[in-house]
Amino acid sequence: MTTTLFVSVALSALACYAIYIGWATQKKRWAYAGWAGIAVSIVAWCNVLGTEFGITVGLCLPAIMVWLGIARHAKAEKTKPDADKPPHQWQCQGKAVALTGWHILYVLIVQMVTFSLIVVALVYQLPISEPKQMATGVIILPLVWGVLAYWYVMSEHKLRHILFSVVLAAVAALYLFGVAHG
Amino acid sequence: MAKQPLTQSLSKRSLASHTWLGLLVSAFMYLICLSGTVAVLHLEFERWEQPYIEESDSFSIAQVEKAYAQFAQRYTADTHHYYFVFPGSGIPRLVMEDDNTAHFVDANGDLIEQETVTWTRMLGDLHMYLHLPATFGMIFVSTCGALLCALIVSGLLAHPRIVKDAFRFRAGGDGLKSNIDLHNRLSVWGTPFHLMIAVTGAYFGLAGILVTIISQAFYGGDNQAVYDQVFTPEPVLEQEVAPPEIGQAMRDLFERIDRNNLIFFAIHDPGTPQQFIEFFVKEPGRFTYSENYQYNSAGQFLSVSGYGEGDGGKQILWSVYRLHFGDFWGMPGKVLFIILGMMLTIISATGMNIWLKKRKTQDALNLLWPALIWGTPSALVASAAAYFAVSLSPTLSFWVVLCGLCVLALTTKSQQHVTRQLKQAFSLLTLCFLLVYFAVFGEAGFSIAALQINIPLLLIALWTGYSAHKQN
Repeated sequence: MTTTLFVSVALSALACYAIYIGWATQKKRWAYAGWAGIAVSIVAWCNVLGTEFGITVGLCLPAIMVWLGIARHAKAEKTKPDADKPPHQWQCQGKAVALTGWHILYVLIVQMVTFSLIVVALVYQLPISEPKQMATGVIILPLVWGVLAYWYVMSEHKLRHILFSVVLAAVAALYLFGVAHG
Repeated sequence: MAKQPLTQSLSKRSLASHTWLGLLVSAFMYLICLSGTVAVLHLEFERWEQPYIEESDSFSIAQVEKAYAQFAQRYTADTHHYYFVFPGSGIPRLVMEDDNTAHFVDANGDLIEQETVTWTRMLGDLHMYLHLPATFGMIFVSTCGALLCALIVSGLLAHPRIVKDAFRFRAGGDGLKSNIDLHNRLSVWGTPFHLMIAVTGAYFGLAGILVTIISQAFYGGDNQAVYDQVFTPEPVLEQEVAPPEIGQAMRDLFERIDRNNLIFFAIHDPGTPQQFIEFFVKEPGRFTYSENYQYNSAGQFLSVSGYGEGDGGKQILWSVYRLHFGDFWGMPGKVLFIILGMMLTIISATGMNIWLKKRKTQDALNLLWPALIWGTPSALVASAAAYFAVSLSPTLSFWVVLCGLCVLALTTKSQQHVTRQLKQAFSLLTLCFLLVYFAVFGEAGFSIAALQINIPLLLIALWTGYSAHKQN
């Protein structure tokens, strides 16, 4: 156990360092070797800890190991004091405040309700057992909501986005409380 | 939110979206991430709150039966459950409890000191509800989980030099470049962990909303019917009302499982014909919280719930807790999650730092933000000191100290002054806290239960003090 554990740690570290070497020297073969090393290290972790823990540790550990390369490449500049900036002039513009308030309300509340309806209606179409449908729902809801919240905030056509989401949610609600409800 | 020109690139618009979403949740995200990181050690904190309790990894059936009999005789008030917690829970102590009270159990099976986990509960409540009313707080925190997904996606898309900058780090300067590099390096390389935490974190509050929709759509509004699809329903029993045969059930159980994996058992609906015993047993190498074994009052085996080997959906939903809290692979798993959790906390802090440093103007926010960042650890330590010294509510003292430090920060000259002074305050408060702790607990302050928290805490305080001194 101790030996295989040590081998897994070493593999993760070496793989990250190989990616770093590939990045620092602009040599792709090192980077490819590093990514392949990450895959091998995940297999090694699965061997030590079992599939579930192994995949988790193998995927998470590079976030720490890459600091070997980052620290080696770090450049330090002389610390400067904070620049003295002029004071901010807050201007209370009613329309801008109301619009921002609406965006917050939409992202936090309306999207939660609409995407919950859409996700439930979608996952209940999947040909899998009900517990699997529910598990799929709780996994994809934050992802769908997150991606579409990003899209909404970024979008220049917010009204179109709202209409699209509300219509989809209405169809989902119609299915859930009309068709499925009987 | 300014309207972006049509020609603006995807990365610029993503950055604008990332900034807006980040500003929306920054302070909450910081509090959730920091408290969550500390809460990875919640079992260790429970031990630390009462370091003088005797600890052992062994137990006997006779001990359990005696403790149950004493407890049931002493506490006759209405309860829907009795519980007995074993060392397999991660705490090498035995605890007998009902819905209202908990007692430790000694080697003879006698009830001893009452269990109090007030400070640990405050920490957990801060992470799960931000101390808001429970249902609303949990949904709000889960919403932050969903927005963390949005921040991850927008952050990645806002980063056109993701490969070019993969190992770049510029320290010092006016702090802008170092904050940007720290934020981006930690974010990009930690993406798998961040996504996992965001999705599993969102689960706790959003599951309730999904259950409500599903129950209204398919089960006539019966939420329990939905839960029964995922979590094994309670057995329907017709039996005489009698004390539960715990010993009989445990003897049978130990023929099926390794007794070291037993987490706890619950006696449901005690004193009714529906009474049954449910054992929660760890599955080594699995994220699933437990496999559950049900027994009737006479200690006869009824069924296994199937969380370990049953439907994949059940297994996934029953695995969320351990995956979110890093409760797997013992202490190495916890250390890994603490480091990764601290990275996510730093990302929350540096995100707002970048925005503040990029602004061409300054105002109270420039002082309040570092006050929140460095004031929160101080408030946590102060709340523990006040609780141990004079039994003051940790929730109250946490918020009073945090708000007080934020108000005080407004009287200082610059962001750097706030940071330095609050780092010094944290170091001093921690040293004072340790004195209080040793004064209150005496010799027990040198037990493993105490030192495993206090030594790292002391090291963090020393490092923070050194960092403030260096900044000076």
